[in-house]
Amino acid sequence: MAKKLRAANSIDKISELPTDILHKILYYLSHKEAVRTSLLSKAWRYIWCTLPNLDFSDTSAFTNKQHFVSIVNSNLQRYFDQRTCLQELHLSISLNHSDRGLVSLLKRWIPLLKNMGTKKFCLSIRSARHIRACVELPSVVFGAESLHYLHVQRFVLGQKAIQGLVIFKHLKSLHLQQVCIDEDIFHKIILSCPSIETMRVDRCMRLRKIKGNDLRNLKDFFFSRFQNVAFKEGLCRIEIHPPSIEKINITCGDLWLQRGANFLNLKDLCLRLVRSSLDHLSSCKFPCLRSLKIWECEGLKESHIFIDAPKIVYFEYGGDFVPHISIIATSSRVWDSYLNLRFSKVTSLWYFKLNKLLKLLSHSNICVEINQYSMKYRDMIVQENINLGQDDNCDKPVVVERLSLRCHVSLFSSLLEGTFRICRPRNIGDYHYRGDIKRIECLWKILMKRESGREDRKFSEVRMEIYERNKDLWHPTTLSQLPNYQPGEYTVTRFAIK
Amino acid sequence: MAAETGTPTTLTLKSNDDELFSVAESAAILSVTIRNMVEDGCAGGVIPLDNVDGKTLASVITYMNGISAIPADEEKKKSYRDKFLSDKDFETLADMVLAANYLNMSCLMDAVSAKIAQVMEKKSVGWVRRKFGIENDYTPEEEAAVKEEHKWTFEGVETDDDN
Repeated sequence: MAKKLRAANSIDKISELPTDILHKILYYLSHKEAVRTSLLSKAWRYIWCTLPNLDFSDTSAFTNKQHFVSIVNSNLQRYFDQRTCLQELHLSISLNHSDRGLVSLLKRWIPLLKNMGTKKFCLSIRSARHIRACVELPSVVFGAESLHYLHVQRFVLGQKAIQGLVIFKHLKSLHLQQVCIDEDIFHKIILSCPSIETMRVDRCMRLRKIKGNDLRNLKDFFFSRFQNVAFKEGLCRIEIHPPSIEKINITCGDLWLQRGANFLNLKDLCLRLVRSSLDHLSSCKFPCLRSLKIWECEGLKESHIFIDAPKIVYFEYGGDFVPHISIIATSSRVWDSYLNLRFSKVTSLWYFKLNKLLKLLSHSNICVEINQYSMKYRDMIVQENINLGQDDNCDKPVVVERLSLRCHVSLFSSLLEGTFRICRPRNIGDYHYRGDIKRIECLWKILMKRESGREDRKFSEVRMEIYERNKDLWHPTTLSQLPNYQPGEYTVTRFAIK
Repeated sequence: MAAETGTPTTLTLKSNDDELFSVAESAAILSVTIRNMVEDGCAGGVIPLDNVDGKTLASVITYMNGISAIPADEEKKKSYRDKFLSDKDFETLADMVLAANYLNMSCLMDAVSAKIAQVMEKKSVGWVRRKFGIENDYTPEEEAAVKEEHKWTFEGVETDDDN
């Protein structure tokens, strides 16, 4: 009680905190910042010395590499000599060809970390050389038992690099970036990581196959590749559906789905440039899926896909053909879908397919963006007299929340003519009120004609609106008022249609 | 216990300045210290918390109620914590970190520690001394020696600004 009273009377509350609480506070500071606190007062002089963690993840704090090596070295030596437990070590290093110092630092300390009580070792190691220089990763890295997080960039991972491979009981996150690795080496590594939760395989070379179904704790999987590498080396075949998986993001790989697979915990699925057939998506179950994004996936071209995703919140599709995708969602839920369609030729069949797709998605709030395939708008064809076939009932065009045309204005009129036959947009936009002024003027003319004209489905009201960023509000405006707005505060315009 | 009877159980907590607070058991057991008492059957009457004053306890209880009302969504919990701590001055934060330590509430402990660290980050030594009321008891010679010893840490960004 006496101590409590004293604490209440003095102003300096922080210095009275017990050392272990001060350690918790300094835990959140980099090594450099933590050392600086020694100058505060005598009570603070040695607080940083016994911190259970060392954070050397910001290399910019050091004057040069030699300085970095000597500071890291002397600190680790101190923990070692004084037998202070070093629970956590964060190290971020960039290796040059001549960096003997850094390599010997790793060789010296990595084998000692376990004895120093390190439970969480986070290492980011980059080669400063281009990947073609084929720098082998020092083999000591894959002997670091206390690794919790490992990021390797621009190294070759060959047999030599994993000769001392141990089981990484604590490794939660593995990030291989621009690494050259064969599939047998890759699988040896992931088999040594039973606790892995996050795996990123980013623009790696030579890897042809990833089999991750046995990773019982994997939650987050990311794969990407450059398109040209994929062309040269062939696509990487990816099988990834452990029951724990929550997030899958694949760019330029082949996703292999097991028929009838149940993705029990999957919340996010994003597929880009996946060329394998996605037919099996229809037989899979996605009881937790919230977000589905599919871009440029040729595998969808000839398929009819039904996705069983009762909890879907957001669906996104982008590509140069109109797919046939339906999502089986719980009817009472509100969800959004966004379509980004690129065209080079708009025909009756194109409208017919779009009409089908919109109907399949009509339980969601739909946004449609229509883009031209290339800059050469003269090559684009938009058919004028379209025939949607007799079976199809176009009397009730699907309500679309927002329609956006991103093509040359000369195509607007015929494209809108056809589009209005299959959908009824609530808004057309958003166009920047200065940069897109030609499109705005063109739309204004077309829509005004439709408001006053005698078309089948004429609009009862068309209103132009401008968006005020700070207030998150749309205000009614007119074409002639546009030049008066302040840039920055006002951004885009749209046409609201009734 | 609550789950068996179906009615929410309320606990009574007593601060070291004899203020009484009632709080739902489901929220209070965020504190491992309190949870252990409940599990040991020692939570029947008034639970005395000798190391926490009334003002701090009121704040901690606000936090307990707020955070336990948020379903298992780490992002929402984080934004609640950020908002909860945003208007607290340093003295309150110091009291809270002590209370969180005593009550064994790791999520609050981590959030408050991070918040205090965030205040100190990239600030000059003089600024931190003034802000936290730390008295500089080094002699000028001693101070110069410590500064010389860790010279490299005083290079680069530091500011005296209050924000």
